[in-house]
Amino acid sequence: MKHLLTALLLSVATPLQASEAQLERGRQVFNAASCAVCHTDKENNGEPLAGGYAMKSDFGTFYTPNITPDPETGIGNWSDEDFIRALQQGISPQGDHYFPSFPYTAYTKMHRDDVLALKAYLFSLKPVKKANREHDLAFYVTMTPSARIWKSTYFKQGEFIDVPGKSAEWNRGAYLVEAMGHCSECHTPRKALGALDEGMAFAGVQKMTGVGTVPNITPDKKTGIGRWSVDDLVYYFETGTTLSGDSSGGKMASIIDNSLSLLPAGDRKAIAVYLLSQQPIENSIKKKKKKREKEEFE
Amino acid sequence: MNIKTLTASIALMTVLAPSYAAESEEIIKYRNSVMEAYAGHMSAASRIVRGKVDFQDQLKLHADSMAGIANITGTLFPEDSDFGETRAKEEVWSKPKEFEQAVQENQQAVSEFNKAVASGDKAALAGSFKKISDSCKSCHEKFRTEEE
Repeated sequence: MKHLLTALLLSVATPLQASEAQLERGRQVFNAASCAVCHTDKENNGEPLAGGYAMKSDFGTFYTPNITPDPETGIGNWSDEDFIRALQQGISPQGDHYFPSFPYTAYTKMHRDDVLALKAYLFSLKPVKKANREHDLAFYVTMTPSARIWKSTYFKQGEFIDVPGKSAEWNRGAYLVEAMGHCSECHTPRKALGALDEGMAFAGVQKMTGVGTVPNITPDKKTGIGRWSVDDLVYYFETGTTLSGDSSGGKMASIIDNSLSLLPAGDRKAIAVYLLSQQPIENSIKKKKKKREKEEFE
Repeated sequence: MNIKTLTASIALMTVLAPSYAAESEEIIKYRNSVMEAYAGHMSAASRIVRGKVDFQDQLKLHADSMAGIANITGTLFPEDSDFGETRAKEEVWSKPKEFEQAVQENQQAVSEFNKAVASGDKAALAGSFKKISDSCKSCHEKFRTEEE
């Protein structure tokens, strides 16, 4: 009888344990992909992951959608295949093309197992009923099938494949930066129509609409992070404290809080190793202080 | 108002106006310098706390300096220093209570750090130092702009 009971308990416990491992993996993917940074409208005390955050861009304002498992207003009705198609192909369950403000251009590089773990984790969270707000975009974006055209020109689908000859740590860093962390979305300047300028990867942006000044994170000694050691970068990811002792603010503070500082220590190091292995690009980005006139507030 | 007082007032205003703006600019420059001094101590102390260098006996100097600066940061944002070349957000002045609280959180963390330096407790040292950077970050996120 005792054995039977143990067997029964085991048969119940085993699938639960497996799903717990998947949930834990999903939680790590969720952090690495910084989902909470944009899908929670922190500025207006929005509920976690219920969307509504106003993402300003040169093409208008995007309002991020609800990604809680609420079946009506969130993603609660999505199948595994719906979720995979959204992240890897940028296509909604209804067959619409997403604007690349949703970084499927990076998420397409995620491994299928990680995408499924992320879905399992999201579905384990509290559903919040909150309807999505429509984007407020320029007429030439809304009046044309712009997302589809953009994708056919600039979007390359495909999972990340380890680069042979590079260490496991470097490849892990590449995966974290390129597939999940989508660092390029802000740190790489864009050409016309918002396509990333790959020749200037990570070289920073003087003025990004809605974000501000984005520093050069290539290992250039003069204008980038060439003087930082791997340890200095890891410490920055943990604390937000830069080499000069300044503390990050703006979007990056949120990325430290909701993503980088929550990663396993090995992942932070892998990101640092990968970033410092990049081609140094001399591109001076200065934080300019805006000359504000008194009248603005009167 | 007779013509004499009017003339006098106009004269006074033209004298005062530029100096008023100049004073604000000077306050902003002073504020930036104090913040940079704070960052310098932060960075130096972090290299001792992280074990990168072994100037243990100098940690107290940085902790003392940081405590001194943390106690005056709240005074560096007087009314009318909200225009000119500053990254301070309007919220510093429009949400004074929240700003004051952010400043106090920083003071609290620095004071804990000072106690840890005095006691030499390694865990408390790392923990309280992390609290300082957390408070800097959270204040910058709310009250300092990254935009031009």
